[in-house]
Amino acid sequence: MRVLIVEDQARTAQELRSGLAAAGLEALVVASGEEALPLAGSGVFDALVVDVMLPGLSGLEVVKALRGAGNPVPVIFLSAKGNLEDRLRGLEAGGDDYLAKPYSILEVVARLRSIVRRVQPVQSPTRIQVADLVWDRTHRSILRSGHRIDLTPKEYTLMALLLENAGQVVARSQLVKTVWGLEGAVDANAVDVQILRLRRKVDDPFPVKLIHTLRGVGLVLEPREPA
Amino acid sequence: MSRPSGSILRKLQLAFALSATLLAGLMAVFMDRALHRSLEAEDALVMEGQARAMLQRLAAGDTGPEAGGRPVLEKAEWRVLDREGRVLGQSAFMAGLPSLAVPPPGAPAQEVEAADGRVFSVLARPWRAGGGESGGTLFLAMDRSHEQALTAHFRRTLGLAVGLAALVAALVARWVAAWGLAPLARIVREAGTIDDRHLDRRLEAGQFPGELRALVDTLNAALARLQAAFERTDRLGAELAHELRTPLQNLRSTLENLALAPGSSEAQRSALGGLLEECDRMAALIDQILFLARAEGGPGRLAREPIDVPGLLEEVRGFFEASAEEAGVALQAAAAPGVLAGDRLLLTRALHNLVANALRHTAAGGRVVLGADTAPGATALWVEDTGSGIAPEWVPRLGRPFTRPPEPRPEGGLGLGLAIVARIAAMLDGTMDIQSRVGQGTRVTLRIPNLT
Repeated sequence: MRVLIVEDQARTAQELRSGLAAAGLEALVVASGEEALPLAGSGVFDALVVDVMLPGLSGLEVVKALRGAGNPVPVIFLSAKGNLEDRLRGLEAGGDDYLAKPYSILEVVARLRSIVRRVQPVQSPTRIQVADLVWDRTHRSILRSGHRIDLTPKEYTLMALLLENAGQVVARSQLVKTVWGLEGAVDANAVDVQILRLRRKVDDPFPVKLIHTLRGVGLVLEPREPA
Repeated sequence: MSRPSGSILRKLQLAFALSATLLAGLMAVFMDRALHRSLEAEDALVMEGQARAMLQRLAAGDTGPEAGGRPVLEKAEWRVLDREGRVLGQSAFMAGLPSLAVPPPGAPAQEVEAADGRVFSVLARPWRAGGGESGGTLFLAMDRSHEQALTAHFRRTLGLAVGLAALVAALVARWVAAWGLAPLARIVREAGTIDDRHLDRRLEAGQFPGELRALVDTLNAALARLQAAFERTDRLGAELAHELRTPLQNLRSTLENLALAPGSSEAQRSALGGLLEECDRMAALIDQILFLARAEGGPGRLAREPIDVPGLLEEVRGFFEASAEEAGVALQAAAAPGVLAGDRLLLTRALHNLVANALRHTAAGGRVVLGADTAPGATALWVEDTGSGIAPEWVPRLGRPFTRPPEPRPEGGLGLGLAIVARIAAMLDGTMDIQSRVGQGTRVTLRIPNLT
């Protein structure tokens, strides 16, 4: 996936670019809306990440111009303003998503994948296997070593998110949004407890552990032998 | 500060009544004098006529008891003295009067009071007869008691009229005050609808009387200054947000990239994770401060959507279900079916803060209950716990930013939670109320008025 980053803060842009690169996304950085417009119109990029506050042509104006020219390229707005109103303004300007700073780069990656998938749907397999775990989407069943694991609806949603992104780190913020539909600060303890309970059911009875926490970052599902 | 001034109505009433009394009183005195004078003049005229007739008779030598013959007026009484002051003749009544001093010639009538209390006007004139060989003084008296009764009655009537005038004036003053003050009441009413969410509203000077325009203009100018100040705060908040969040973003991104970089040790990842958690805590703090500073999350586009009350409580309960179970606290949500007009995001945020607080302060074996009472006027949402409670002296101070009882606090409390709940209640035109008993528990109630 090729991504155009439109961000005037050089350091912010560079960190985002290297974060995207680490996740396998190729990104180009430009610092102004004026530079961004011809590039975005070239059709080279699968998605745009646009800072709302830019010198000169603002992020909103860039996207309005693109949409005015009939360009449907998916856009995620990034903004230092977290107001609901700013969010709505971003979506009205033609943005597909909106992230308030400070965002998690993993979250940007996840949302980029999600909006690009919306444009180019990929048939996801109905059956996924990770180590001794088998996930059957159609029957909503999860088995480990042949034993069925009973999960509450919330635990299942969380597990499905981790399985869909098996091997990749899922940001905590993404997890909260998927499982509870909430954005912004939530009670951290409630989230930790939910993860703890899922891990008890999925990992505790088995020698190979699948769910791993990256402190301050998120969760990853991958088989790891006990140390 | 000047001392408080009394009621304008009272002052107006007093002024009206006083001026009406003064005016009516002056008029009464004037009319009384005029009446008195005209009666006196009339009497004098009559008595002069009588005197002339009597003097003619006396000049004709008629000095006997019948001198003067029948009185010209029924009420006339007379007495004729010779030069030595001997009574030559008098009417029956005059006999009862004491001797009268002889006034200088041509003097006006004088008042004399009889033993029975009647008042007479007495006129004295010298008489001569027979070419001057005989002569003396003629006294004529006229009963004025009924005139006095008339003037007394007139005065009573005038007094009554003055009193009545004062009363009417006071009533008129009341009406005038109510009528004159009505625009003020309207200013109060209209100004009362202007709050921090409607600072762009102004009073329309044109619809108020000229005398009040200066007041309206002053109020409007104050509102304009207030609005400008609020807008400055908003702008400052937005700039502050940008200035704080941009470096925080850079810090976070750098740490995140490092934490995810392959090859870092477990210890390094843990340290980086700790720093990331601090970043998130700082970000949450910035969010909360901006929210309380009205810079963000403000009511720019406050949603007033119908929210299913039991559904809302159940959602919040669901979020905390697992952590309550882990803590050994029973978490219940109970509400009769009902719908509330509010902002889902804000209410969720408020209830999250309340339940998180309740769980933090409730030990294993305790209970936290989410409840609601839907009444026609307002919906009360409450979170009740059987926790440690709050010391009474702290209760009124809670809800102010960074106010927290000085107990050792478990991880997580920033002291802004309740302040945010109180702000959210105010944003929805509602209130927050805290009831607490140390050792027994706390109940925080949000009252949100229903839209009509």
